[in-house]
Amino acid sequence: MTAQGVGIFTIEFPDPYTLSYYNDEFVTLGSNISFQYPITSNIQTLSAKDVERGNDPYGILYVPELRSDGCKEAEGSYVPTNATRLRNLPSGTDYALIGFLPWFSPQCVLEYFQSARTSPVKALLVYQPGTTNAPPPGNNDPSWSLGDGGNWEDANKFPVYALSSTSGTIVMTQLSLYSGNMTDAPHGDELASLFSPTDYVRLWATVNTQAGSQLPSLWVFLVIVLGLLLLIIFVTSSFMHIVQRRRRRDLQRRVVEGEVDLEALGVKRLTVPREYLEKLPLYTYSVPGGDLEKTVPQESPQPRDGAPETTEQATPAPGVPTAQNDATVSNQASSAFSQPTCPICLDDFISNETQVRELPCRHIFHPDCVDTFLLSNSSLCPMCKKSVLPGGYCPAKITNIMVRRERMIRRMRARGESESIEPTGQRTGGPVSLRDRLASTAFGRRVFGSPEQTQSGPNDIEMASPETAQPQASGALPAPAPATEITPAPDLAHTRSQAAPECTEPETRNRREWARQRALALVSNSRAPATDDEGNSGSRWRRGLRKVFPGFR
Amino acid sequence: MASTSRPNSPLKRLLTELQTYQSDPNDALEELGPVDDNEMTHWRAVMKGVPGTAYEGGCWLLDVQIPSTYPQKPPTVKFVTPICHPNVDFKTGEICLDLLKTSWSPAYTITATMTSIHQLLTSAEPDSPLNVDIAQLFRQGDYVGAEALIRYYTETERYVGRRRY
Repeated sequence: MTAQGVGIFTIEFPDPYTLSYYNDEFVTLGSNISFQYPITSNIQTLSAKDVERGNDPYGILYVPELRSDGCKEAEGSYVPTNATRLRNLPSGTDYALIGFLPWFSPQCVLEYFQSARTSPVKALLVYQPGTTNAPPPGNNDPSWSLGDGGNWEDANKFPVYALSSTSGTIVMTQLSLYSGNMTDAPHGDELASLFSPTDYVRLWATVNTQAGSQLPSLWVFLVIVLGLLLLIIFVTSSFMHIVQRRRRRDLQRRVVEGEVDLEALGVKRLTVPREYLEKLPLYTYSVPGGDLEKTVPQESPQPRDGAPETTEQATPAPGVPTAQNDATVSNQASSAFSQPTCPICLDDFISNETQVRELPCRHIFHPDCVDTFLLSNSSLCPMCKKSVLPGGYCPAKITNIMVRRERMIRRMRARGESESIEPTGQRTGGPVSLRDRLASTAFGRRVFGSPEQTQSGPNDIEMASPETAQPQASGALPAPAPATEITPAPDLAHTRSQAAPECTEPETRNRREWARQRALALVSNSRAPATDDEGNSGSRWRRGLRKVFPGFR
Repeated sequence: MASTSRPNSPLKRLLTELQTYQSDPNDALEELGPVDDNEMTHWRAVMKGVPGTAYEGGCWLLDVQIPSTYPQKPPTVKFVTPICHPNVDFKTGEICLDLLKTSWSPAYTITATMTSIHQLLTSAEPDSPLNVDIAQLFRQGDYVGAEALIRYYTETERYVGRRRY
């Protein structure tokens, strides 16, 4: 504890021989009739040994006794002969003492220390003799060295404070004045009239060590708590970052392996890079009169088994109905080349003149129409929602949001799968909310389409005449098309696509299934809009939180 | 080479769509066409209710705003006549349908879009509601109450406009 200030006062206390008072029965004298000397600057703490917090040293000032004659002789030039010594205090009582000594030679100072250790000394005040009012030298100054390597600090049981030379000289002079009888002291007569003349008048010192010393500990505590909190946050954050990075890599790997189609899932809206678009076949359209007439630079247009054909039939061809009316032949061919119209601009292709772009799903478009769409809007075929991109194509950067959506959709899918395997009405006790949700939509469907509809055949649009049912079916189906594709229950999709062309009896069931498919699609889509401005949702606060704790919902 | 300079304006396609509709009308609709002959990008549609359901006998006016980037971007469709449906905002008429937002494809026409909205009438999705009141009834399983409410609004908010053709 470093000293902030030293106060020197004059006290008056009775002689314990005449009055059996304790030594704390003293009176501090006023500055008008006695010596008072507060020192608040130029104090150097040489040793803070054994100073306890909140326990400032205090005591009666005295000059310790020297032993060797050499030192006693040398002392004469610094200490007045009548300076207060131990013998000038009432004997037999252990007063709290503060030693006061000039630091004039290492040998003699050590002797001072030795003598002080034998008395109940609370602290030592020292000064280097001189006439400057400058602050005492720093602790490491060689002038404080006693040649014992600093052992004196350990040997002492009290702190040592240094005053400036002038302050030391002033106090030493005063010590010589207040050492004898009361009447010999300054204002002695006045004092004698106030107090008993046999009382003692001596100098007294208190040392103020660091004020407000409790405060730092509170701050230290707070800082520790804060630091711990920060550490926890940091550890959690880095852990979540690591987990998230692993998930990103995992998703990337699965995308590259073709397990996951980001856009078909609604995870992320992709666009087709121009260099890939250029590779798609581009050729002159010719009337699909028969396979022989085709002048196609590509491989044979035979549809691969099942998949493209069913999607073709099950998917919306909003522009096609007209085409089917005037060219019924094309219906039976059912190859993608039969499209006589560009589905985007609804213009007919002119045989042997129009350039057309064919997508991997074999749908053909005007290059101008489909290129803008694929470059800026989506990577899915406008007709069948089949991805144009090659299997292993992965967008440059997989973001955390994409990971999150993919996981959510995968979970939904897992639940939806178990649901769609069960018959619609049955509810096995599952804990899943989606189950209830689906059940409720099925119920809602039943309410909407009340039972009477089956009887009132002609009115019901589902039971409409076959020729109107055809375009209606095709018009009604746009929405479920992606759902059909993404549904992991192939049997369902299969029955559906088979039923669609017939479209007479199983329509009602179809519609119910359609509603279910649609509910599934809605569930995933509403949660994961394939917008491009991902990460901008939510407040700045939430965004920050997401950045620190990725994967946090 | 013939198709290298196609007009980007949706007008031509809209005309084709209009002709297609007139030659082959949509059963779900009473009427469909531009509001004004001079403004091809603003259409209106009158939708019929679904027989055999709570929406039976209904008739709603819809407003169709077609963006200049159509068909690359979907049209904006709103119910002008108030309709009581979980996925339609009762006041603004805004429709919550993925087809009109994220899963739009330029291969859809206005007629097909209308058919999809017509389909939405019978397959509501109460879990992404725009009309919280009716959606709440469905979620709580009060189908009788929901149906009654729908019937009430279908009757009272019926659109009775002049037919233009």
